[in-house]
Amino acid sequence: MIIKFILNGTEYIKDVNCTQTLLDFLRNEMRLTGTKKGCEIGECGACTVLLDGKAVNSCLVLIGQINNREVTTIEGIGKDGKLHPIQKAFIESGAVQCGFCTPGMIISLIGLLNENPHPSEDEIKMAIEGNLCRCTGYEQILQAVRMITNKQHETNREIY
Amino acid sequence: MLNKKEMRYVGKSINRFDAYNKLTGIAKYTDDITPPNCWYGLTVRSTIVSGTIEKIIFSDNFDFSNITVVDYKDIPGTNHLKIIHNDQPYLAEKEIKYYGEPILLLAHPDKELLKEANNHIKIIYDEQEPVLSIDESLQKKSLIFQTDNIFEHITIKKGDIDFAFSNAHRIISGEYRTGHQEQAYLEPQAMIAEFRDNKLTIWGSMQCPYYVHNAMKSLFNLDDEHLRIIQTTTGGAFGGKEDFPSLLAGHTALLAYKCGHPVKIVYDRAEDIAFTTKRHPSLVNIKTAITRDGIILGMDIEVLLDGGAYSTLSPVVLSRAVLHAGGTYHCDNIKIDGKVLATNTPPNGAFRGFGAPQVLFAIESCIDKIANTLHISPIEIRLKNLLQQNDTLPTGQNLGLDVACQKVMERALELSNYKNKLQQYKEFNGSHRTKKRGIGMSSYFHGCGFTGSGESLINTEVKLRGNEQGKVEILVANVEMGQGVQTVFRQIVAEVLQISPELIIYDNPNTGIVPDSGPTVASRTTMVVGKVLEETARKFKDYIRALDNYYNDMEFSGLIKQYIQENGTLEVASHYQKPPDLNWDKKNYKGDAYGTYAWACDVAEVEVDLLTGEVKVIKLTAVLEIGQLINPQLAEGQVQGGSMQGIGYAIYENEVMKNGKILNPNFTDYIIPSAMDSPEFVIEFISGHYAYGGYGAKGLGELPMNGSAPAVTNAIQNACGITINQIPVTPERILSLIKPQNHTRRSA
Repeated sequence: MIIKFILNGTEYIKDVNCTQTLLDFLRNEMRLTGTKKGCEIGECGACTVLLDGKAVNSCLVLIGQINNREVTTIEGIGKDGKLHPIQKAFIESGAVQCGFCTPGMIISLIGLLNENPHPSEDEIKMAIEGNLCRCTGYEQILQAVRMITNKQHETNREIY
Repeated sequence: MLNKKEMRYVGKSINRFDAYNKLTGIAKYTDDITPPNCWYGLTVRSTIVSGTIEKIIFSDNFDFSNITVVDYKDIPGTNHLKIIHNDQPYLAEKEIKYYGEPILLLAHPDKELLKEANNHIKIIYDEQEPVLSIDESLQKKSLIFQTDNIFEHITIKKGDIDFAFSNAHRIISGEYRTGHQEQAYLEPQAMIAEFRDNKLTIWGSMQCPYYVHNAMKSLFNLDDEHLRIIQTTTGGAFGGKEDFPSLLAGHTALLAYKCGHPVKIVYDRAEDIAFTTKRHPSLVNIKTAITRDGIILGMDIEVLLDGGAYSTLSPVVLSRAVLHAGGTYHCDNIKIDGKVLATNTPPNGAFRGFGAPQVLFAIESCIDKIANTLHISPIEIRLKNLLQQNDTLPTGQNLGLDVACQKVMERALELSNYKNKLQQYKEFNGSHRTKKRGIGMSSYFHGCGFTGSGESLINTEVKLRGNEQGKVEILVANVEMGQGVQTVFRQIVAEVLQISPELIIYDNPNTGIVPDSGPTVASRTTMVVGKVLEETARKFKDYIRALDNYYNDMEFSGLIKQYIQENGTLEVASHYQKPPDLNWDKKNYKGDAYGTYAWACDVAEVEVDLLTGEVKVIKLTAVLEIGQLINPQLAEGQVQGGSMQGIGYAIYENEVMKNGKILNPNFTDYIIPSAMDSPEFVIEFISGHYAYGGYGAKGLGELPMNGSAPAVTNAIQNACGITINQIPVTPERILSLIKPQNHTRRSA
């Protein structure tokens, strides 16, 4: 089938095999390997991308579903090589260990911050509840979010 | 000696060097790499638990002509995974010992076609009665390993336990069980292999490039010159990528060898959970002889581990288990008898803690049981019996001054406000019918590095190389797997050389380039390899005559370039030096089992819902002594992550094995902690120094995995007055423990 979509700011019209997931399409056809494959059943969140600004598991999205929509992957985050504030905060708080959950985690948090720039502790936890991390125990990830949500009192909202 | 001078890099929370690439998706994990003309591999596995292969039938309804099929006969070298007993074949020849044992390998450029091909292979078996539990293995229901099903049997004895038990005021015993635990690294096992010009190159997710290197040597009869193992960015390991990658590398390489293309095998989550190594289930019996004053006069401990179908690293896991089974307690009369047994289940292997989490759950549960039985507090029983300076361990090892278990406990009690909390929760429980809160603790330790003489056998070699750009390259075989070694090692070298860490290069190891500095396991990297690296850096400084510290980075680079101009190359190497006072008698299990021990105490606070059986860990306080901290922020990350795995071990992670098959090989039914489960963490390190560790560091990685499980279960016991003898204690188990005593339960 032929679909039209925006991926990381660029518009594409492509003839695609409609039986594949968005995750496989991104990794195999678009060579965007920052989106990780951890379980393929929507449990681990390593494959999280933004679909029209909302965080979704790309392993549960069939490619046809992105027709006329906008997809943002980790490669599309940050402008001109500049890190997003949440990426910077991850570095400062030590929230990266093995890094396999990190792209999905960052995307979920950007999805949260797009909608809610000043989330409560529970709202942060709920936003990444579906992003499993085996290394950190989550504390330094939560610290990273606290770092920027406490800093940004005026709306410093960036839309991707 | 303690370095009195203020340090510039060691002890500082400098940012991770690998963070940027991981945060931006630039970092390439194995599955992110696809060489040109790459084929994919698939493993054909047994569908029976125990028996023999009678016949393999390739259906006529499928065209196998384009599929590469490998069986054991295609192996050019030895069909046995080189680990300890070398009992595990890469591919089954006749005998099947567990459900999912690899029999054939298939390769083709189209992954989907491989699945179809697999559906057209029929294997006829002659099934045998399997051995599925520790008990069945002990009873020799069938023989799976040698003449007794015992992979290893170790006994440690000190003093006279008969004397202790005949003079005891009370004898208090407990039987403790722990289940399988899955490492659940987020990146599944993955490997790429390529043969070109008779040279084998492997890229993969792994902890121990030289384990894979040596395994490939005997699988293919290759020499070192025809073999390169390159670690790719590794998405978590926790022991799960210690021994298993050798098997997967073998499979991938066999396919590449036969089909002539690069081959990639990436497990999906179900295959990864069902068929890769896990933590050994255990059964630990503890019998204690207690004096009138609450002193432990004697202990008789039996440790039984379920090794699964092949021995893998089980003998060493058992070694660590028996060496930690007595816990952090002084005991003059002790016997520890351990066995690891063969069963027809997937082989168990390395997992953070390596035998210690099982036995520390047992001893810490038993210590609380002794306190309850004697009607004294968990603090008092520990204070009476904790190891003190110059005490000896069950092996006779004299700890000298290197004991911090009481110090860390006292600080943990203070930081957690234990006594007030105990009272507060008592009041809370009095006024709440369906929610109960409790507080519990655990005292624990971890022997750092390899057991006894292990480090001498490994004989770690480390190199530093100055390059033409005037930079310093770290050449070691130890890998970054999330724990932070790329940052910590740069800090150590930068501190010695007094240059910016940015001037130091540390690439993922390639066995074609780096010397064998041993595996990335056993909490040994910072301590043991870090020390050799520190010494090597000092030599490096002498080589280029950077005699004082009054140089900047550019001048230092200048010295390197000048040396290279004059001498051609600049490469400095050092080997591990055994600490002079370290003596281990492996035959009799006597002496210095480990060079040093790291000490810790956890205090856990929980809330239990009596209606659902759910447990919420509210807060975890951990105080640890790990020698000199190299990077406090990374160290905290290790403690939080390790403690969380321990919380999972205690209350969530239930691998359900039925008739030799894992029924829940997915994250839907095998629950690892999510962000919603993360407690408030309070972590503090107390000062320490180990003279033979990198800048005084002890081992850290495994320690936090050892203590949170018993702290949590002791807190649950405190909350609802139940006795827990088995983990994981899932909501169902909590409810079944609460129910029978509902009518008699006192208001806790």
